[in-house]
Amino acid sequence: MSLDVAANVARQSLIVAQQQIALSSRNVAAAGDPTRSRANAGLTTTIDGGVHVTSVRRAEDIALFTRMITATSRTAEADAVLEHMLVLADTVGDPEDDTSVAALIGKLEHAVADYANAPDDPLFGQASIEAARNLANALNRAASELNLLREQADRELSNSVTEANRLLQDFDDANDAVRKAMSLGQDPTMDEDRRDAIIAELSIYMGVTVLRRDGGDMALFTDSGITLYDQSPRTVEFTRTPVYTVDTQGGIVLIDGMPVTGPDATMPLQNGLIVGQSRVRDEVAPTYRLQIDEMARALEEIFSDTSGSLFVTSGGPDYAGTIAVAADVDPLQGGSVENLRDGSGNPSGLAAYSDRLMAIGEAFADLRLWDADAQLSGETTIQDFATESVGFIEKIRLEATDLATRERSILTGASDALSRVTGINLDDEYAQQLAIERSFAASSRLITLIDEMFDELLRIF
Amino acid sequence: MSLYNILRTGVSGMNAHSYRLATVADNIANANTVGYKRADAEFSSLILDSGPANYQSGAVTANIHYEVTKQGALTYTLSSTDVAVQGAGFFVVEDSKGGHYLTRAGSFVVDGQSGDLVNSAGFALMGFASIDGEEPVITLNDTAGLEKVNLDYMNMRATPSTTGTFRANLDAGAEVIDPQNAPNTISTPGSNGIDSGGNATLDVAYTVKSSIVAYDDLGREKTLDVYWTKIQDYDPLAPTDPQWEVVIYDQSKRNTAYETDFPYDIPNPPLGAAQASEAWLGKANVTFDPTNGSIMEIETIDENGNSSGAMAVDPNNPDEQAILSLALPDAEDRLELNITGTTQLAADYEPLEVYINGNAPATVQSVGISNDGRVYAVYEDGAEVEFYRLPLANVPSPDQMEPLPGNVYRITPSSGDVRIGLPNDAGNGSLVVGAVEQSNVDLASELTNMIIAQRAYTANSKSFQTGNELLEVLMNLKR
Repeated sequence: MSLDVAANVARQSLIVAQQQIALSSRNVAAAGDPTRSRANAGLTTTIDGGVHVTSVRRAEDIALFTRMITATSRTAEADAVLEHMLVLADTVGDPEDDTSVAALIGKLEHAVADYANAPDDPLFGQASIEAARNLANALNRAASELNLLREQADRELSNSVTEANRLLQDFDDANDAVRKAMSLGQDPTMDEDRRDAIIAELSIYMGVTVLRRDGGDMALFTDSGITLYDQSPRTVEFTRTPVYTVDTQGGIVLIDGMPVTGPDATMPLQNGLIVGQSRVRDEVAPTYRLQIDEMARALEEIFSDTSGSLFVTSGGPDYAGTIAVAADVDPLQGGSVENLRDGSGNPSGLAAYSDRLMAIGEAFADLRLWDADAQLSGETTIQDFATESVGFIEKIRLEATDLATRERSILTGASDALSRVTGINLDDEYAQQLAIERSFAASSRLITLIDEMFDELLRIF
Repeated sequence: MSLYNILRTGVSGMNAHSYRLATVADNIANANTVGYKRADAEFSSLILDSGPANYQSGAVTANIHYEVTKQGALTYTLSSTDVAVQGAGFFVVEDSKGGHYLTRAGSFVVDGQSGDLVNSAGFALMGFASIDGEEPVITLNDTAGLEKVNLDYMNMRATPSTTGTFRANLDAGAEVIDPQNAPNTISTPGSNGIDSGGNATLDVAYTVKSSIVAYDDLGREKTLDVYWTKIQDYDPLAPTDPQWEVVIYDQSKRNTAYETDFPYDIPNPPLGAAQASEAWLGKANVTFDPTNGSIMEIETIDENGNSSGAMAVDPNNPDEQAILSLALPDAEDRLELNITGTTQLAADYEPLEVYINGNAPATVQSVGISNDGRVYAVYEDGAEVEFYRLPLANVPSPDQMEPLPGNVYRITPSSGDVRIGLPNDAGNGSLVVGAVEQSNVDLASELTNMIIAQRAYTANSKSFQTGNELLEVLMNLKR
């Protein structure tokens, strides 16, 4: 050992202290940023007994990170469904509410019954026509509202796809930066943090699995195993459908040429915003639409008669969108309410003919066969069908609320746990800074001492 | 006459100690020179014959020797091309005239004009070319085969893919897809969506698909579609083992008219090969062991439809691996994709390891050196490609080498012949990247040496002076 070796060791220690304090200051600065993790210097001993920073590592926990991104996808999916269901529930209304289709069917039934009791009073007939008009309007409104809902979901789906593509491009940059830093033995932690933040954001749109490779490289797959990123990003494709009518088929999302939504998908996405949005667009909205179409169809059927039909539609499949009060029975359109009462059954022109109205009242209570695709009871009265339909929406809304609440609490838990493991603890940083300061002071004292010893030697001359 | 001898002895002593002072001055001057090894004057006495009754004073000569073997302290720097040797061994460098020297001064930078890695004295670093990670052929006792490490050479170079690994878990519960091949029925990717009459079938069914990226000879990205299809289930009564079909296509040849991709067109043939007769790059039927889910047997079918027959696979035996040999389009070498680690367990499909070598051409962003002497270029996309292996040279007696300006040493007959090896091999030291070796001069001992030399010089001058005075006394005897 010699003075020079001692001076060299002390100098190395000074450099290390500087690097450590720089990392610590970076940690403190990022204490409020949830996407940043704590960086640590990895120290090794050198041959002359000194110390050297060989690497900068960051705290990470792969299991918790995976849990966190899964919970993110699921929360986003549930949120998307919930958001649309709230809009739908608002337009559909409560069965108790006067504006809901179910309530309006009930009102029409009562109005017809009242008319049947006093068939000679055209005022009751008027009331029936008004009830019918309200019901037809409600069905029309619900139909157009559903088209808008699907358009909205389609637009959001398109935004999600654009965002996903942008994130994949960003991921490409960040991944290259990490690989480069690792190759050159530089500090990759900032880019690793950036990359993790991108994955977390991407997982909002779709479920993502992460494959870690040598040299800091990563590959990304969807939760169903389709390649999202391997050397280069794969494209997520989607074609918007700007206008929706009753039987419009929305475009499907393709990743790497594979359909991930819709019935043709062999490897469908399992979680994420895209799943939620396409579920609303392709499953919930069309099913509900079929339900109101079935109601409109049944209403036309109940009142159908050669001259006294109450409702007209332009036929399938757009029953709900086109249902209206028939001109023949509507005084506003030059018709007469007596046509509703008589239909083709009162050839002698009786002033109190009630048979047809009675028959209609019974028809309301008939059990009807409904389209199985509507996912409600196969055979019920129209009133029960309408009530069940409201229940269908409520059930999905409730499920989505439950799922969103549950997944959000899991997400909060996972994020908290992750931040405890990888996040920056200010107390800990303070303590470290004190230790670094002490070591720096001691090393600089040592250098002064060595300098004095040289002085002593030079004083001989 | 011994009085004259005393004068000569004094002069030789003064001479010798002035040499010593000179080495001290040199050492102190070079105290902070990277790779400098301290010089030291060693004295040897010249004694004349003298009888019992008389004494003839002799002389002293100084031999300069260099403490080349003594390691200097390492100082860490921020440059990735600074390298220090820890332990025995020297870098081989070349001067502008092509002479080869050894040095410990490892602070290398890129010379903008030539692209060589040179140290501060202008000597270029030498290494063995090691393309694609090949082990260099080393001439043990000569610098033959060594080339200057040149960065310009690394620029814009594509490495085609030759090996790769694909390891995934396939879902044991997946439904079996019947590989029928009749018109208007479902077929598997192995029949490429074309029925026996040559017409496109309605639907091609597969279990899972992932895509992977490989590079052709010009560094173009080739995205390969890997289809896995379960074609047979485990049945203890039949008995049959679970079997999957894996087929790989060139994604650029997919049929974009259909959403299902099929049928694919026949891709470009590998360089020098004839056009293939099937559209796939490689295909195999893989049989899994129903007891542990690992691959038991593989039958590969090449792009011309030739079957290899069933071959046993043992994951633990390097000779019995499940390897798909792919006819990579526009590439000379085939891509050997190892799928041995693939399992069929009761879990969702998940790719577990995907790696294919090769890279696209890009400009070199930086040069790195690894601890075992591999010099690699780091490209824009972060890819690393190895280009050179740095050797370490040594001689039997390094202290006897002749030092030349610029901290380099020349081999002399007394130092012995050069021996070339790789770092960490055969007594050679290891490399420390991002560090330089300081001079091994210790200032404190140089200062004390200086005082000792000064005292000795003064004492010698005194003996000369005394001898001179005695001679003067002798001269004065005669008046």
